[in-house]
Amino acid sequence: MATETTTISGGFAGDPANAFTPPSAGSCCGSTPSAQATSEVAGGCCGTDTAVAAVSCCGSEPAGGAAPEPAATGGCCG
Amino acid sequence: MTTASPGPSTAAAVTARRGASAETMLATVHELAADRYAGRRIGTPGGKAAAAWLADQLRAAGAAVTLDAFETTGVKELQSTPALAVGPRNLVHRRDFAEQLTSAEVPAPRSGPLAPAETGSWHGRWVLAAGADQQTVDRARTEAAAGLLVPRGADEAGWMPKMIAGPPTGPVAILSVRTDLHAALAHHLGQTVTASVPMRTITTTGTNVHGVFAHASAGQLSLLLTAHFDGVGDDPEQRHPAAADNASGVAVVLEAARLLWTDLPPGIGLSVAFLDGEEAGARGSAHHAPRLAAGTFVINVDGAAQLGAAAAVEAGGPAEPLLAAVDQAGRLTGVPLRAGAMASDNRRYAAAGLPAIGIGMGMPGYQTPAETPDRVEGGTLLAATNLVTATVNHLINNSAQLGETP
Repeated sequence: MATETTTISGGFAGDPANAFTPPSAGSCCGSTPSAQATSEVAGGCCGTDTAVAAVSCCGSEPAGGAAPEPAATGGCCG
Repeated sequence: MTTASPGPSTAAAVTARRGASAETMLATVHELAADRYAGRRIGTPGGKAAAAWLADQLRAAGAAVTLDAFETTGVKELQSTPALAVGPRNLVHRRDFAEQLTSAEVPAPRSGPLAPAETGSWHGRWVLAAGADQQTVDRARTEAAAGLLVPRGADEAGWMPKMIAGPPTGPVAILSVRTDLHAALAHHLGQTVTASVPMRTITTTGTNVHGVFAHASAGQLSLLLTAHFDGVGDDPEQRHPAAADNASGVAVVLEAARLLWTDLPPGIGLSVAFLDGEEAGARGSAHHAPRLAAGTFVINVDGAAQLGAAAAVEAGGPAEPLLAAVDQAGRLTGVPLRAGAMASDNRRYAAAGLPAIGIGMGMPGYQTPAETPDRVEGGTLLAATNLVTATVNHLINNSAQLGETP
């Protein structure tokens, strides 16, 4: 097992608990924090031509206790 | 402790002593992105071949492997390349236009004059509409429009990403046209539009690939590493290699499992699930999550191609210890982290009440033909593998403090 030491370059810059309610930008299927996330939002989520919030796409059960978006605002992945 | 196999293989042990191998992971990415897997869409021969290949890899790594089939509905499938011509100009699929997932199936080209939404009658016309909202679709159906052309953005390279999961098929032909081109079509009103949308909604069978390295002893820590191996599948005339999403994540999970297994303390459970149908709506994990033992810690990797500024991490379920572990692992390995939406299989496990995190490190060319293996960085694969293994090791080292796992 690795010896546990800390560095200042890695880990969360802010409060890790924010990961329970992450920002909704780049919120579509499999989205990640890179350029394609922006294009997803611009291009529409899951082919619906509409950007939607984090909890309303593929795997659409609420994550981290967040409430799902109404289908009318996104309608992603059914 | 009940082990699922006699123990780490010599080859796996040698790999572990060497640490994670970028070359090995890049080879996995190249393999899964190869032509023979045809973009690995759920239910296709290519998808099934990828599942079989992954099963072989898990067996070789020392896991007891099972394949778990499940039925999936609502998958969008192109029967041929959609067509769109405006006057003499043939537009290019996935560059200029793309199928809209609520469209009716229109297998043969249908012609009609191009008309603005403000025109008096939509009958027989292809209508330039601002969107495909219910009111617009209702009018198009009622007035028997030829179809709707709605705007949609493209990615920074000018591609319109492919999706295969979406709302139910509607009654009207709809194509998405690149936003700037959609605006330009306003200068071509009256020209003849000829278009087809040969897209069906099908029911098909997916296959999850499960590898158990070691079952957890009673009350001991149980860990599941997951990554979806499916892609959106090739277009009829165009490849979608799906190297970043998610051959890269599969490569990381496979390598991390190999490394962890060689040094796994007795009693700790370690399993891998390579999931099918994520692109169809996270169907493989939806099938698997309810069958998983309560308290299992789930780490899902979706995208490990270009780290950029920081890895995205989303937590769900009772994941506080898991989140603390990944934070410590990030500090230990020097991988910067940030809270970021990971709308992937991790959400299915979290919704089932399991502690789950999703980790994402970039998907260049996301769901386009440009999602090629050469864009997957070896350094990012290593960073992701180190983060996952360090997270697991932190959990193991602190497992006594976690209390009795349910």
